[in-house]
Amino acid sequence: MREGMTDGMMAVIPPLMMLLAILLTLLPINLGENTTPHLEVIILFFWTIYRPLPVWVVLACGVLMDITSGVALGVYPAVYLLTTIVAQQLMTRLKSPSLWHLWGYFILVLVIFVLTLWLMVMLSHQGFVAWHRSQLFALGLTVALFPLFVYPLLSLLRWMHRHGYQLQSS
Amino acid sequence: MVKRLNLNLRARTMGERVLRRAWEGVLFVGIVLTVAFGAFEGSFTQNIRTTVIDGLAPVLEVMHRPVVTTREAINDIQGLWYAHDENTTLRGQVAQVGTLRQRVLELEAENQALRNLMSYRPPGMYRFTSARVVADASGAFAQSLLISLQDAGDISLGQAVLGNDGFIGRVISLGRHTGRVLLVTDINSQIPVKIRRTGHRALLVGDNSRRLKLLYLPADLTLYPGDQIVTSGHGGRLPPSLPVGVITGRAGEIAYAVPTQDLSRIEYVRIAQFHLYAGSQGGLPISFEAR
Repeated sequence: MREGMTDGMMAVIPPLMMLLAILLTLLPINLGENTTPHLEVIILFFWTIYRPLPVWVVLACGVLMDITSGVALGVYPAVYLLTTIVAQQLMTRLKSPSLWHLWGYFILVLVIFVLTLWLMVMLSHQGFVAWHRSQLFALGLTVALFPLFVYPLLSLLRWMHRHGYQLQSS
Repeated sequence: MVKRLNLNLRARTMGERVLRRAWEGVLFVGIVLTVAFGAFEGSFTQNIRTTVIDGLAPVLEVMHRPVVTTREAINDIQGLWYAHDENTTLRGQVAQVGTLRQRVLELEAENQALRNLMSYRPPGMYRFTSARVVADASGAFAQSLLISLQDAGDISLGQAVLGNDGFIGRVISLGRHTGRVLLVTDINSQIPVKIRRTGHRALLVGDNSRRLKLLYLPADLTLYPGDQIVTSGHGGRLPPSLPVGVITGRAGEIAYAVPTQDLSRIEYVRIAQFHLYAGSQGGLPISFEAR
């Protein structure tokens, strides 16, 4: 009974959180430098580790991000896909990561994400796109916000684990 | 600190993992190639974009409300804190504005009389439509705003969008109740402008930062920090003389500027429905609108 419930919940929660994160990045909250943190990457990274999203969900989130942010279609699906591949490859080496481990790996994944995004934007723009302070600001802000989002999620998963819920689909 | 949680990833056979990686790899390369050839861009995908944005607009508006309320509350508190100083400054400004207003009215009357004398026809007319910003899609590699429109029927692509302090961008896509504004700072933005002081024309391009670049200026032109940049109106899509930015410096053939409007704090915008030589459209002459 619980397994079925968990499976259902876990199939819905990660995509919903991704959707919420994408919408949050669109809110005109001025945190400085006229840019927003990559909140959706935090969520993508977290769920890639604990409950990998199906490829089609990753691609759909990418398309939604393309549409809302106004970049060429295909940029974010490719970047998200590569991010999940990299995150999964890195995390296969870890059995029980602490928050610090996760944070460290996340920084690496985020750097790869931003570099891939930059390359994809240049590819779609068919020209060189220079880096600015705002890109670095967004990167730093995302790293700083990581524990704020991941700590409650880890607590929730820990609670579920303690009460016998299965994180992975059976 | 949360106790460590075992990942306990679902065991997959080596074959399954290799197949999955290969599939994801092929998918990734496929998407990259499609982006490189621009195969996803067309009127069909543009329709999908506008439909999705139209659908998301109500959700964004609801999510936007707490942000607006919080921002207003902060502004109120700041306003109370600085009320005395602001009052003193404003009194001084009101005195200045009174004198300037008188001068403007005199010049306007003189200008009108001269125009009548020469049977002068203004170069264009425009009206304004107000819109609210529902989402700030400005990210690290793209700079745009999503606006909510009462009725997008009156608006057309390419029209100028203004903030309180001047030109901020152009309308690049329209749904039924939403539109996207490409900000002047976006790397794809190119605006024909001129230096107000000298009248020299140039092309103003964005590079995704707050800094704007001015291209094609004469090499021997001397510019000063603070020189105003306005739209030139060339091409007929944008009204002339809208303030866009101010010069900050020059390095070789490229001059640099910053927008007159702080692009990070825009809540409402005005769309200038500009009609070149459109006396029959019934708009107001530019000089009247500017007043």
